[in-house]
Amino acid sequence: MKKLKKIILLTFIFTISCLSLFNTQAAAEKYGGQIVLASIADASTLNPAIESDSSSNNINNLVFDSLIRLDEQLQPQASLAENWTISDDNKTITFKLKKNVKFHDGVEFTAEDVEFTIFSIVDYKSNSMIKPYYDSLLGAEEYFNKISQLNKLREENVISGEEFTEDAEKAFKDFKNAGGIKIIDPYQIEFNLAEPFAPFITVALDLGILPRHILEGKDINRNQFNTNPIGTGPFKFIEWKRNEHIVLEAFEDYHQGRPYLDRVIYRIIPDQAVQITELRTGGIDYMTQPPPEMIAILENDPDLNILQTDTVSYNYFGFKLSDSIFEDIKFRQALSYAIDMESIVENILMGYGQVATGPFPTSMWAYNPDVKRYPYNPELASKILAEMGWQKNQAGFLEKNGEILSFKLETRQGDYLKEQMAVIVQEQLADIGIKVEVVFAEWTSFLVRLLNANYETVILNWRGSADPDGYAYTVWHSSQFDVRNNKRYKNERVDELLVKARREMNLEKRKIYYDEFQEILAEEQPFIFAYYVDQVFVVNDDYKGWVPTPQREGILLSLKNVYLEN
Amino acid sequence: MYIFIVKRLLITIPIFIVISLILFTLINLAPGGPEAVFMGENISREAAANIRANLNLDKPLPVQYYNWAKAIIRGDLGHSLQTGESIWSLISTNLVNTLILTFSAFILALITAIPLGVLSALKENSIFDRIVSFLSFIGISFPPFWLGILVIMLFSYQLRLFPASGMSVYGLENNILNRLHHLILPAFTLAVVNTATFIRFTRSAVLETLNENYIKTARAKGLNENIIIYKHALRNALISIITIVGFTIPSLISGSVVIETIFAWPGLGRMAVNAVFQRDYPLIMGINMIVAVITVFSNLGIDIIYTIIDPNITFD
Repeated sequence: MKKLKKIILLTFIFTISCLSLFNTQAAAEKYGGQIVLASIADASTLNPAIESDSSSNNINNLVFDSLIRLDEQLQPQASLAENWTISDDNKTITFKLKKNVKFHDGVEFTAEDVEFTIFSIVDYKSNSMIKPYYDSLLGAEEYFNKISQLNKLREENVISGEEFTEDAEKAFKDFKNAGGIKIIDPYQIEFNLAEPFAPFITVALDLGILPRHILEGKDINRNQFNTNPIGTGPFKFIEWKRNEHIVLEAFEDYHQGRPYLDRVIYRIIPDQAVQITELRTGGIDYMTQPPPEMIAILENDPDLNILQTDTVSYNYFGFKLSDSIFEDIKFRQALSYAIDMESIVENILMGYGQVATGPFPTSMWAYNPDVKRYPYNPELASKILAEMGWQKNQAGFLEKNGEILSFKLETRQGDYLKEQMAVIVQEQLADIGIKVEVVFAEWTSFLVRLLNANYETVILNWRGSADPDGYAYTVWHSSQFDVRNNKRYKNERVDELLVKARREMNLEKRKIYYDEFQEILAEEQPFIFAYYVDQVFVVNDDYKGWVPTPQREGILLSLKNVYLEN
Repeated sequence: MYIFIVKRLLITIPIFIVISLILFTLINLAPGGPEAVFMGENISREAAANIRANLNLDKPLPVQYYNWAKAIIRGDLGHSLQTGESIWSLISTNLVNTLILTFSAFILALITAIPLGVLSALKENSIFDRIVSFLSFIGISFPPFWLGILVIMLFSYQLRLFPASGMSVYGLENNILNRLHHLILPAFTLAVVNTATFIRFTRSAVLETLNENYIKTARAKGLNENIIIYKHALRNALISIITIVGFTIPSLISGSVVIETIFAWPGLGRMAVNAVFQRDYPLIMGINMIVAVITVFSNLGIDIIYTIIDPNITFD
């Protein structure tokens, strides 16, 4: 009996060791190879603190790591952090950091790098776009207000450049000393908020950490570092040939284990038709958002794999609400009935999208599907307009008090889907007698007109950060007229709900506020929420391990786990 | 001759000043600035003012121009507003890439166009002439972007003979065969339009010279036909050919945006267009000034070549 037991035990041990040997071999086989990614546009800076375009973001997500990263449900997961705790009053968040995390130059990552990164961003001298993410930190609001006050004084020549610098430096120092960020020890850092702010972790801490030992005391806007970055991410930077490619290689000491692939080549190929040819002939292994009409063809290619996921953006047909004709809710509802969104999704997006119902993409936990919808009904639209006193004239256009119902519709030049949608909207509104002039506007000058509310109607899309707040407060609160609420929307109940929602930490309670907010917007139609475009990625079928997430090209965060299958 | 060259060089100084002033004004008249590009849809008034101040764009325009010009005299083209990189290094790498492409295409165009043009002129109205004329008309009428896509569809996708885009494969940058392999399609596409134009000009220039009285005289005195053509006709026809070729030289430097975009060629043309869309003022100025300098000097070069080819033309 004893012998038998021994034999069984031995057999068991033998099998286990064989299996584990087999396992390590299988894992070893996953290592190696390279992948070529394609992008329409080149990056502009490889410094995550001042990046503003998606190509830069793609590369920075690979070279830099962050305290947290968002998962497929857009919930924060620890990355450089071990874990975090939130105090009972919801105003103090303490992060415990991982030990033995190395930058690509071998220096250890500590809490000082986190503090340095955030101070570099909020520094009034930096060109960072994400300063507002940190306005909930203790002392931040006072600091930002002071800087904007000083900016105004300098513009009006009340104070000189030197006086500005002196006062601004002092305000910045005061903010640093206000205790918004406190280093407890090299592996613990505390964030103190002026008031509870639910989106803080998701929005403010999903951020590439800069190496303090390289950048301290230097100008981060213009620095060699920005074309030669060093981070703690899974891939380290090798070379950047402008308008040609960016090359990264696996970082052996990555704290979550070395990525499988040896090398990543990010090629800049501006023409999508050429990207498709390269993909089918093996020149590249990955592309995003192929033209919808091409997807069916690519699906038939056995060497390619199509990955699809939700998005965190929505497209809309927006109005300047202070214009007299767009003030009336009934008029906006009539427009909603007059546009056949279903057919736009079917015929322009080829089904790779959904009709939008409100300001939150379906991928967000705050999304509320039970709101008023406006199915295509041109008769009803005509009836509403007739009730408002608009009569058809001999030419077939609606007229009231001798004035024809007409407006200008602008969209971004070169954005193929939006251009097509603009033309369809023009046709469908012409059917009920509204004259629409479509303009494809050059982007940079268009942006300035948006800021100055110098437009009538637009077709655009909105992409906020991963928390609903970036789709709600910043876009619809009446305090944001000079910022992102350039359509001038104002509703007191909405203002109240949005403030409550950003102060509430409990997701379920937050959702109640957001549900009501979405019902109000659906009723009032301050925008016609048009559609959500699915994210579509086409990859070479030899590469496995992708995890698409709703964040824009969030799929690239999974590149560290992607491997080449033989 | 040296006095002529020095005089010409002195004239270029006011030309450059005027060009730069016009450019600077035009660029700054365009609505929207780099701060809008930085911020995208997150644009806000305050942040915009802050960024303009950081980029020194809050100073009055004459002051900005003065600062730019002062730096230029020291040979400093400044830094890109978008990336902070030195403009000289950005331009020089991309200029080399552009020259590789445009000069290959240019030489390809010249060596096909001149013999074909001369032959069609000599065999005026023959079948050969008609075929060449027909082909060159097609070449002129092809929109380059469409031709580029067709060429990629055929040679890259169907026949798999050439790569569709890029300058080389990473790791093989110094392999001349790999570089040539990538160069052939874009150079061919770019050459087509120039070839067609050069053929038309060569043909008409040669025909025109053949009708000149001195050719008739030469024929009347019984000169060997080969000598008439190669020594008298061609040499005189070359002057008008060189003029048209000279006109295309600036485009060799500024590059072809369309071809560079389709074939993902990292050249100066693409960089210039991106710079305009991104309102990268110093980069736009830098690229345009370099193109202006080269244009002015290539014109000077052409003038010197005239005097070598035609002794009738002097430096007065």
